[in-house]
Amino acid sequence: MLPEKKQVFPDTIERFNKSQRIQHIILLVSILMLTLTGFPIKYAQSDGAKFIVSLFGNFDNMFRVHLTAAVMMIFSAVLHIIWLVKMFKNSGPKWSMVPTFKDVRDGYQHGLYLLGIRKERPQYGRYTYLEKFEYLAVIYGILLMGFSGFLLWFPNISAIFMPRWVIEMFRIAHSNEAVVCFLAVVLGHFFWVHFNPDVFPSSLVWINGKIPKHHLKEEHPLEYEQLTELYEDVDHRHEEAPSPFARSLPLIVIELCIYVSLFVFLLSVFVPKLFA
Amino acid sequence: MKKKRLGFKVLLFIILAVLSYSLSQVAVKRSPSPSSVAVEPQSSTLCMSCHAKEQYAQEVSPLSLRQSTHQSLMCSDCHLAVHQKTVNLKLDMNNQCMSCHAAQFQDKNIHLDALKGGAGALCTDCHGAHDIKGVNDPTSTVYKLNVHDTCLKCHSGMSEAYHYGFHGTAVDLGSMKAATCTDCHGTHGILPPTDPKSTVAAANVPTTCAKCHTTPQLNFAQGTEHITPYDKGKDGAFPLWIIWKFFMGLILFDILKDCSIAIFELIQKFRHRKEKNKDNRNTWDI
Repeated sequence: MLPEKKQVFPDTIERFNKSQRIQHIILLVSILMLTLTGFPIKYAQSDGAKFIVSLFGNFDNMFRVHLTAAVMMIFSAVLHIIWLVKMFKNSGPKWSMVPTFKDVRDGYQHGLYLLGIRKERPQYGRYTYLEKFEYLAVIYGILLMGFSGFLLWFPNISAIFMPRWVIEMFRIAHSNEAVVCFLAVVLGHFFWVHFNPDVFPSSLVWINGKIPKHHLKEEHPLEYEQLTELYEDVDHRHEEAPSPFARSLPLIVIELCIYVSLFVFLLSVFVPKLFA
Repeated sequence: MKKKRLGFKVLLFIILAVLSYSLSQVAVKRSPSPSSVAVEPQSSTLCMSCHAKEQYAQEVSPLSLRQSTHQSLMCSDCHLAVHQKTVNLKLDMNNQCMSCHAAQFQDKNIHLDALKGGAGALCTDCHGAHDIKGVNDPTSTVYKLNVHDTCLKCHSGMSEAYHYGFHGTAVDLGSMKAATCTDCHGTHGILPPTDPKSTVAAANVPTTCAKCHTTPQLNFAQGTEHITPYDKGKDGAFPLWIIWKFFMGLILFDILKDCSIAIFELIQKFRHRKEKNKDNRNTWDI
């Protein structure tokens, strides 16, 4: 028997519930603090490093904040696992985040769309192939940064299990994976949730958990279709207007300039390092 | 006749005076001539009456003397062999230091090979001379946060690797806890790693690390110290180099993926901008 249909399709749909939002905010704050207190260690010779250390008073204080934020990051991961287990128990397993063959096809079609060969975007479900990739990247990042971080935090314990040169390898991994995470957040994640003209200056999903109907329809058409089956009246009168920046020419042009110059700058920095 | 003789004597005196004065000037400029100055043991003011002059100020500045930890000493306490050309001042000075600081000379110290004419460093090379300061003075050359610069004056090859390591990084950022050169290598008993008594001889490394890292793990000695991923050719650098390259690849993948998606998304947004305007009456265009 089908569940009874609800009356009217709302203007906004809850995309992330309270627990998910709390997990995200804990992860966000921890990564922000880890980046702020970690990069001065990586780039200790720069003036900026000395300035940030002075903000914390001294190096030991800053380092303590780094370790505290690291525990916070692990805590957010633990919270996520607990939430996953609870959710699976309560409402049955949901596999919407698991990559499928469709995601490979979506990626290919998105590529064609970006190059102007294909006219329409791929039809995404609840999570786009990029969001799934990002989720996996976060798991990989937390595992690597957390594991290597703990090895470096307690060298006299890690030296029970491995020679010093392996610990040193993990230090280099820790130091460089930090840049990978930072770039993935600033270039990738921030584009979709902040700089994307459709949601500029910020998507509000991370605060109130709600995604506007029109945005859901555009970005996650398959999920939208699934949801429409639950409602009798889908064409709601008060459709929320898209963001005022969605089609703003100056914004698009300025962002293009920034991204192109960032692209050129980053390539000029890291390509020589790869081939050095 | 008498007047003539007197005039001659006066002239001779003047000539001699000018000559001796100018000779003394030349002598001072070249090198101190022996026994040209009679030193009263109790007086530094006599020394300073010449040595505080501008032309010597680089050697002995009255200000740095007054601020040094030896401020209460007389010049002659250290400079016993004053103005003796034949003495190697630097070597001789080591003995003068020893007369008070004998304890610092008890251990075998590779730096003191300099006394036998080999490579090494003497007291003043690390501690400075007239501006010598105590080890707890933040302006001292041997202060915890400065001593690596003092060591790196000679051991410049270590610079990059020391600053790359976490110990060096933390010290650079002002940590008083992290190890600097002397914490591992010692101070007045520094020996090369080939010497079995050295704190950094392979067999002793675990104990040396355990000074801070509580337990002397044998694994602490398993790996090359003072090495960076950039020292491709050096022993033990390969594993670090390969990890570094792997992550450079990952970073480039990040840049290529995220930047190009963002750039092409924006280009598509730009292209489809007008089409959308036709469909949607609700134009919020800026």
